[in-house]
Amino acid sequence: MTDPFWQTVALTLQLASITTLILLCIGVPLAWYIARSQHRFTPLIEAIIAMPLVLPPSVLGFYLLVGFAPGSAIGDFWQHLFNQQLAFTFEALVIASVIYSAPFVIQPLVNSFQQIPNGLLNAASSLGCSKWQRLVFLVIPMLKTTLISAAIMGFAHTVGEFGVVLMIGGNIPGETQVMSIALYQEVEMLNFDTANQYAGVLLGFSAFVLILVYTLQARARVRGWQ
Amino acid sequence: MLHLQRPQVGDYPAITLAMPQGFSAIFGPSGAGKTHLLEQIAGLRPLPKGSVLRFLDRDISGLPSGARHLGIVFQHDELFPHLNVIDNICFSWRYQPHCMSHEGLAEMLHSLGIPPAWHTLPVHRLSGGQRQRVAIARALYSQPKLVLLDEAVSALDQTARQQVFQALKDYQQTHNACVIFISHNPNEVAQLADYVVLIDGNGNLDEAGDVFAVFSHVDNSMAKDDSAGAILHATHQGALEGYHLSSLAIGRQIIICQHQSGEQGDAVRLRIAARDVSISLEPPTNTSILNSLEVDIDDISPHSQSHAMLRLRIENQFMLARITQKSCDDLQLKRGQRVFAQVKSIALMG
Repeated sequence: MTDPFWQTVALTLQLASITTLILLCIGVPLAWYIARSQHRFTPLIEAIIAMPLVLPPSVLGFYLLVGFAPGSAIGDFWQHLFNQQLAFTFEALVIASVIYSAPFVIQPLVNSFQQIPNGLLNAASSLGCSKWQRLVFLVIPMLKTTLISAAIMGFAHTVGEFGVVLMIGGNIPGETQVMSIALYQEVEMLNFDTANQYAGVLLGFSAFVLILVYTLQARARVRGWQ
Repeated sequence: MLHLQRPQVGDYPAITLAMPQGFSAIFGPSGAGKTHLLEQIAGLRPLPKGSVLRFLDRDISGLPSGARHLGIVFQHDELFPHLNVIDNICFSWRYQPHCMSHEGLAEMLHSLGIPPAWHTLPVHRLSGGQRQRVAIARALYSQPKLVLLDEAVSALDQTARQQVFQALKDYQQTHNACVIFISHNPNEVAQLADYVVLIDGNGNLDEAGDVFAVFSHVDNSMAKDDSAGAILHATHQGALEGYHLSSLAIGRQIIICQHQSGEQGDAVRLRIAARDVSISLEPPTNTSILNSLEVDIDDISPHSQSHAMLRLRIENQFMLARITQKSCDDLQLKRGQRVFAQVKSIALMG
């Protein structure tokens, strides 16, 4: 195994971890808002979040590339703020991954938030919880399994993304080269041995993650609720 | 004292209520908006504009539910499924300022019949009746002065129900609480309530007042109910040796009923269903019915096309009798007349 191989694996995991962390911080309150809101614009927010599910990743990547490029509003703002360009950086990958993996985290959260019986929330209110205390001290502990599953799915999905990264990340080793891209590159260069390593790790990882998620959910069902 | 004044909005008619400290029952058919009303008092549903809600002379209408310092027990217990019994009961420690001490909690749990062995059980392991007791404990843990119960004992068997009633009575007395409970069961109301609010099928306030008075009126929605019947104060006289019966006194008159443990002189409430009372002009003789009371007809009111409802004065109290219109005419019953009421069965309320 070569050093660049592990560098790529480490970068991929780093990207997925940061993305998942950001998604949990944004996703939980946002999903709570969506689940409880009756505002007429809420479906619009839901549609925007769900967009990456149906959009070809290359389309998303293309618009992000245009949006992040030097000369664009976001690109220039970033340049002004950090004195470096945004496109083709790790930071750009993080932003893109957050957008791309958002529905995989937020949708299951919204679904299980909506299934919480109103009576339980009323009970918590009557006992003194504010709206946000209900989220922190009742809903999150109650839906621990869903949260963990959602985080795992967001993480796994980020590890597996290809099209968006290809468009806006380029393929810079140690900066933007993640495993799925490296695999593609090795195949193009006919290095099937290295390609096999990447593919094998990704396959094993995906299988492990899915078994983990379904085991967690099965256990939660056995506990008699959720 | 809880004051509520709610203007009419949509399907929910205007209601004005003043419920004293003690036990108040909200009694009425399903779908009359009783739960809705209770949730409005609890702050879990918005009150319409122009409403007034005051508790102990403090305006609570603008407060969020948790700041109203109340305890509510829901029809479906709404226990938190991921917490064990004791964590459910003590859920409010983080949010409420006056939660019970360790000793106070132990005492309450004992009175409600929640043994320490349950504490670490997940709540889905409990039966419906056990869950209801836990839900009551959870509501009382923060020592609220206002307790709202929405059919909170429906899943309890008779013995457990008596135990919980006693626990609620003790709590009410030590905390001088205002306990408002919804019930479909007239016996439950008769046993526990000091004050009763009758809601008719359309959600209108039919009558509200002292439970003895309301249950002895001939023209409210309670009287129209098949289970109509007045409540009477009586005092325990003692057991009838060899018969498993007890005798009770209503003023100078004696009534005999199923054996009831108690000391001589104990005050008891008893309820006599109107359909279990028949009228005779002469003192009945040679009858299997044990109880025949000398009463005066206070009021006669048509009950249905075939039946009439009589309000009878016994000593200084009232009871109801439902007899056929035909008997009423045949016996030529009229107000003020002295007659004999034969009572077929008596429910003792303890």
